Amino acid sequence: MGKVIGIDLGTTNSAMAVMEGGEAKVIPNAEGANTTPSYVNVIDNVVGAPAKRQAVVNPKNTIYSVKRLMGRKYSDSEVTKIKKNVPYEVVEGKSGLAAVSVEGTTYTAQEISAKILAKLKADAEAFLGEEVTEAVITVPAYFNDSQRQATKDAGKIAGLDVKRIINEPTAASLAYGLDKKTNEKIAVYDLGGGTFDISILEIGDGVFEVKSTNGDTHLGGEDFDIRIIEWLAEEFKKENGIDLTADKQAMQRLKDAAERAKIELSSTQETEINIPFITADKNGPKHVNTKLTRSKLEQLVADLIENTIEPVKKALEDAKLKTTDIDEIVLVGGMTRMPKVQESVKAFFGKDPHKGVNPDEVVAIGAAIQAGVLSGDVKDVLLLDVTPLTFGIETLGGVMTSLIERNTTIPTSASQVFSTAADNQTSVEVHILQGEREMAADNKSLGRFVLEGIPTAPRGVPQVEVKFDIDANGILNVSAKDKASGKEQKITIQSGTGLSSEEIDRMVKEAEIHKDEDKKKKETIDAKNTADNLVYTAEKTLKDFGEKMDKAKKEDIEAKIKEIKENATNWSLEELKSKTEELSKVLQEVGAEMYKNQPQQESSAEDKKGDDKKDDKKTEGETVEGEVVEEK
Amino acid sequence: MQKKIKKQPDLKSFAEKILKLEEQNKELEDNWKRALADYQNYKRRTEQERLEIIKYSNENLMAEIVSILGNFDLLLKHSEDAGLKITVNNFLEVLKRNGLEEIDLTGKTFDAHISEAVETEDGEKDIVLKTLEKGYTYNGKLIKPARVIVGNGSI
Repeated sequence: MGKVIGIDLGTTNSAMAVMEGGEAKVIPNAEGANTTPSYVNVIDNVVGAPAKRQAVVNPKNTIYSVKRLMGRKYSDSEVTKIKKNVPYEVVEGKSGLAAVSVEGTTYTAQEISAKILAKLKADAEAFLGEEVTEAVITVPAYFNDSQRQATKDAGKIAGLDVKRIINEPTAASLAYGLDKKTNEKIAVYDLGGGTFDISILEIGDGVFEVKSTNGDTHLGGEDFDIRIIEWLAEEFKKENGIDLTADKQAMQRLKDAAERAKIELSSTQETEINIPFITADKNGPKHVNTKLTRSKLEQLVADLIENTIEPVKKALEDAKLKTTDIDEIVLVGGMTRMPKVQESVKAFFGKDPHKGVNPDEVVAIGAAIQAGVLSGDVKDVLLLDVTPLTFGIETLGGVMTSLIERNTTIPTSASQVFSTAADNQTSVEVHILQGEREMAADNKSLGRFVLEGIPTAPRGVPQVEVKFDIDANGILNVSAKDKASGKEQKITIQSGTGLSSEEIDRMVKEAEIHKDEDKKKKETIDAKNTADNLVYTAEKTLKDFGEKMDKAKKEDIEAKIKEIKENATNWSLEELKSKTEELSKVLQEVGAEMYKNQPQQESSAEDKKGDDKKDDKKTEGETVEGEVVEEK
Repeated sequence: MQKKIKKQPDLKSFAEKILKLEEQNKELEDNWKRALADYQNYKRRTEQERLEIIKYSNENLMAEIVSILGNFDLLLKHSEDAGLKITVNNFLEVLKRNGLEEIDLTGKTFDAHISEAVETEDGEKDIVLKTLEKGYTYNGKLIKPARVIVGNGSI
């Protein structure tokens, strides 16, 4: 069974998405872009961005905005309007329907749309690595039956079995999960590149009903760009006395800069517009170098935004609703990224609109969700839980060492090897913890057990493997096994994730608040553990090789050991660190000397490690430095 | 006799139970395989995407730089300063060494896959008469199409 893709077949741009692992994902086209211009060169069979780029060269062969012709009669007043505005030839086709004629051949609007769909299909197949034969396609809410049928036919011609045609505002609502609401009224505000649509929907028992639609077929982002271009040209004229509007090249550069400024001002308060060498007069080259603030931009386009409110009012009137009746507001289209647009919508409805899904992709994503429902993908998706908090154990110095980090998808397991903290220690205690704090005492204790019967050995030598396993139900199994003796001990914790969401939130928040002090505490303990380890190694070195050592060095080491032992708890972190470092340095010197003096005597494998010998020992056999707390 | 009668429905319910479990088992196995397949596909794609990311990690930066490279051409056109010329060339060399390539179609056949026609003028049909803004590819991928004027066939 292949995947069913969702397609937003737009007037100017199209996009597609697919359900994958329970989530809708936008499929990029072969050029790597998430949206594809709805342009077709019928003769050379070029579709998308390349077709748009050659439109000027082949104006009669390049069809765009064909969606406006879909399923319409040639005699339709809308078709007459379109005919006047496009360079290609619009003719009367079969059954009086509007069609296009290119080099003497007539193509239906379905056939043109099919070429766009065929490209999307091919690109989706390349991306997914499998054949795609089924799709859900979106249409405007105001499309009538014949327009919907035409869209379905276009899919068929492209080799797609159109499982369903759904309304664009419905798809956008689906993308925000509004199908789960009951008896709510939704306003979908769609301000795209060239058109504005407002739709009022009602959701009852998982079914969306369109109550009313309205809009302006010639209002969109391009109008906003033009306002900026006009302002730039005007400012330039004021300053330099040169009119740029007749200079095509200069206007193109103004357009690029205007688009960039508009996008930038959605996230910043002010942007600089720099266009060097835009033109020249007898005094030399002239440059555009100006600042545009967000408030100035808002001033320039205030009436455009205001113009969207009138259709919204009409749509509400037609649906016999008041602004206060609307429960949810969904924003669609790139222009709704503009803060002022969001503010105006919010001010009108007195409610925050939904945000978060990319407004250029929200319709395609909704279509993919619908496709997933139809193919059973969404219903059957196994919802896997994640661990809300980190699981770990207490190690030397009362520190929490985590084994399973928070937000890990379960079922999962993790294991780590620990060792003993003292010589001849025969048992270790495993204290299981849950939480985000660095110190064991600040986290929730889930349980503890003791593993006994560890063969006597110097500290750091035994290898105890601690294993955590959380099953799909959140039940935590912890086991500890001594690798040498094979002795094992385990515990099952039923309420592994049984915390309420308030408790979890509180614990996460607390960790955030105490982050810095916790870090400091942990660093101090780490430093103490390092010092302690080094003292132990130093004492051992003295015991084993003391006689062979230079006497002054030996005394130096002894003094340093004594100093650290006496003051470890009083010193500041920095002091402790530097003193540890000093001892470490002396030990290394002694070690190096000893090897230099007796290169032949010990020819074991250890010998080859030379100076690194001591460091190596610590990490030998993947033993982790943090040690299980000593059993008292 | 009575015992036998009693046992028969038990057997039947067992058989039913087995059938039901078998069916459930099949379904679970199918779900599990699907999840596994989904995961493997996901892993494969993530790996691919990772390679892509490595390959094009500088793409956004390059695209931004490229958007102002045209200004350097204009700068050189307006200045006689040899030092400036050398400096700009040094800069372009660095970009080229790192995978940036200029698209120059002037005098060649127009190609919409790497350039955008902004105007047509009298001249040989489909031949690029003039490049208004240079285009660029980065590691073989188009990051800015050239903006060109194309001949309309009337001379």
